[in-house]
Amino acid sequence: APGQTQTLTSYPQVQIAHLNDLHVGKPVAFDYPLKGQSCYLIRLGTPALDGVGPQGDVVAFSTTCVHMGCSLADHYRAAYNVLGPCPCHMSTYDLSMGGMPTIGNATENLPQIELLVEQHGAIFAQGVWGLLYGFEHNLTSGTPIA
Amino acid sequence: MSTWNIAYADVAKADVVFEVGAGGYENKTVLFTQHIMQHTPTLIVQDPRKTIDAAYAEKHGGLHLRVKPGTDAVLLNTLARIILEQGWQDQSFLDQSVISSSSDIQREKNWRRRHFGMTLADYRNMLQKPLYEVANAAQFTGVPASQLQQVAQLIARPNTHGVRPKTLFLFEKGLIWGINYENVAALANLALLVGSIGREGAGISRMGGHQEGFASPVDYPIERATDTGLFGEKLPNNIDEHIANGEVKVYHVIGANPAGMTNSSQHSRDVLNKRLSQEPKVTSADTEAALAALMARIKAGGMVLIAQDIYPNLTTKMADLVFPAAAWGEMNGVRINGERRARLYEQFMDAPGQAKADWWIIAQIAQRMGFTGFDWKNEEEVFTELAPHAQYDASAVVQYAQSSGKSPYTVLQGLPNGVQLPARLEHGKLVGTTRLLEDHTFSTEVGKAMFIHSDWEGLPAQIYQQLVPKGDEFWVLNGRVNELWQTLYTHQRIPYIKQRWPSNAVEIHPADAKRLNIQSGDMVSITSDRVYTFQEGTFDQGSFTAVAYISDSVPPGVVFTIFAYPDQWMNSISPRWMHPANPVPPYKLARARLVGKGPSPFASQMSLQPRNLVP
Repeated sequence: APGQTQTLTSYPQVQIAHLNDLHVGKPVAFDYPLKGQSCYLIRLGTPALDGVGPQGDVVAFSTTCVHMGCSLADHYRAAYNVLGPCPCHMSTYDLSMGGMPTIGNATENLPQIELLVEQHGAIFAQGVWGLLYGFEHNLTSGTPIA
Repeated sequence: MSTWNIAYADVAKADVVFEVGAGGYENKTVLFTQHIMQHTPTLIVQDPRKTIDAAYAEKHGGLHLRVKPGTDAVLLNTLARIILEQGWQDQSFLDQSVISSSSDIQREKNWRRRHFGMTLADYRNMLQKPLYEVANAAQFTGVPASQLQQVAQLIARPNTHGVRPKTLFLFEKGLIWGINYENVAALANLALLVGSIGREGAGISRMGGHQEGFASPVDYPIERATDTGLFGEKLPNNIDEHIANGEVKVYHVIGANPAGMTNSSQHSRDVLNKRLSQEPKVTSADTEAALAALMARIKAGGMVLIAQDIYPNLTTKMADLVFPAAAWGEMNGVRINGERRARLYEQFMDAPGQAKADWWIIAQIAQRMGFTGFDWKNEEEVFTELAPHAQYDASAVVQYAQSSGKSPYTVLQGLPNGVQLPARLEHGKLVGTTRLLEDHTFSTEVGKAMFIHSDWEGLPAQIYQQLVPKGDEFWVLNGRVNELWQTLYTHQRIPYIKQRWPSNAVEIHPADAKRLNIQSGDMVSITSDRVYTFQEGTFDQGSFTAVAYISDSVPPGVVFTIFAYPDQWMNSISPRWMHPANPVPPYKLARARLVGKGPSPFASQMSLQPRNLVP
């Protein structure tokens, strides 16, 4: 209800996984930074733009298509490092290139989650590059995950 | 038959959609995602490339016919032969609505119809040639015989209750800008054979890819043309050739960029430079002095180029005079979509600087030349005057406006979904036309449809032999990518899109790339010293560059590039030839050698993942 929603003023640093949990081609789902802001943490197996980890191949992205908000969950194609094609209008995003659309109607990159790996391998989310689809503001439009 | 005779709703009602050289997702995205994907008719895609549409068809129970470039007519004629052999043709439609007597063809006033018109018997005879035996056609077109049989069955075989499948044929520039006349004739013949015309869920139409003006420009008066066709009949003049021959004094280009995009445009740029560099040059900013210099150049045998466009482009840069034109939204206008739906696009902002609507610029020139009747005050007056003369009659909109005391634009403002032309008044109401030709009355003298000569033997076979790559040459196909609208006239100016596409790209099969030692993201030169021209044995040269996009969407020996990428002009190498029957050039059938130039800076900026992944 209005008034009860707790809002964020900055991106929280939240542990989402450990390097040992990640396997190439097996995405880990998480919400960040608000509940319902669905994301995937993925180890691509090849170096990626803004990738973290020893091989620079660990990335995280929103799983909501920035074209019209359809869900890209379960549409990860490991062979091509892409999320998509979106089941609605086929926008497809290159996860090794900062979420640049490979094809489709999207006119911006898929928002990428800023990651940090601490020395023992814990992976933290600590920011978002780009506006998540359906939100006026990534931080203040809903309920924080923690 | 008319170019746009179906309704989009027919896609939902079709059993089979047969797409030929259209690339629906890239070019006509909403029709593809909202109609084909939502209703999933059996999709058949005829294309040398495994396009998104082709991949989608394969994944959802349809077929991809990977036809060899240029051989479409042979494939389509072969389908017709199988259908006739099996007796799957729509005999009652043929009996009632298709010309069966040669004398009816000879009554036609248009020479093309008289010469190329065929009866069903003629068509049947033509198809008896050995080339159209399924095994031979499979060999020639590269499409397996089993697929040809399967497609003939899908599009034509009645079910056990005798009900025919509803087949919708959609085609675009892959067919039109190949070896056409015969290409489109072959598809239209097939549609006639199975009765796919003027019926719900069945028809034949261009697929489209952009809106059209509700009225088309008037053709140059054919009696004044000096070009001639196959039998000495007059053809519309080929402007590029007349410029090259020094016969054009003033070349006024409106909303086009021939310096980059006419066929064999490298040759055309040379010609334009030569014609425009004739003395005297304009050396003064004074209007009178500048005009005097231009007049003197014309008198000395040179040419003056006027370019009228909404953005600067290569042609405006070469021009002596530039008329900046207003874009949509900066003026009012009525346009139609691919089902003839006319809508009013209202002005919502002023044009920048001195830019003016095209109709206003043309009217000013006409008035200064002393012509009467160009005294329109606004776009609505132009619409009112053109309405009865439009490609699809819009005069009912004007009549309805008069009867209800409104202006025509006010009527259209009240129709946010527009009206499908031709429109008519019924009991005082404005009514559109869902699909054309439902009464099966055609535009021939006897009102019946007519088969058109679509044989490969003769001109198509001859031109194919002239165009086909030899030695280390590749076929260079071209088309659009979804993210780059049309000629990129706006998109090249949008930073995000320019970042996604900083360069033209060329799809190369992995085996060819390996053989040529080209890596993904390398710069490639695409060069031809055999750009086909009108004169047998003479060739133009042409070249452009593009980033290697390695993909098995193209077969070995075939590459694909973006048709209009500025300053990396694919048309530098497209053939300078036109079919003498229509005349249309085979823009899609260029050939060239490829040479890798090593890593490009764009490799790290562009996504080079496959485009044809489908849900």
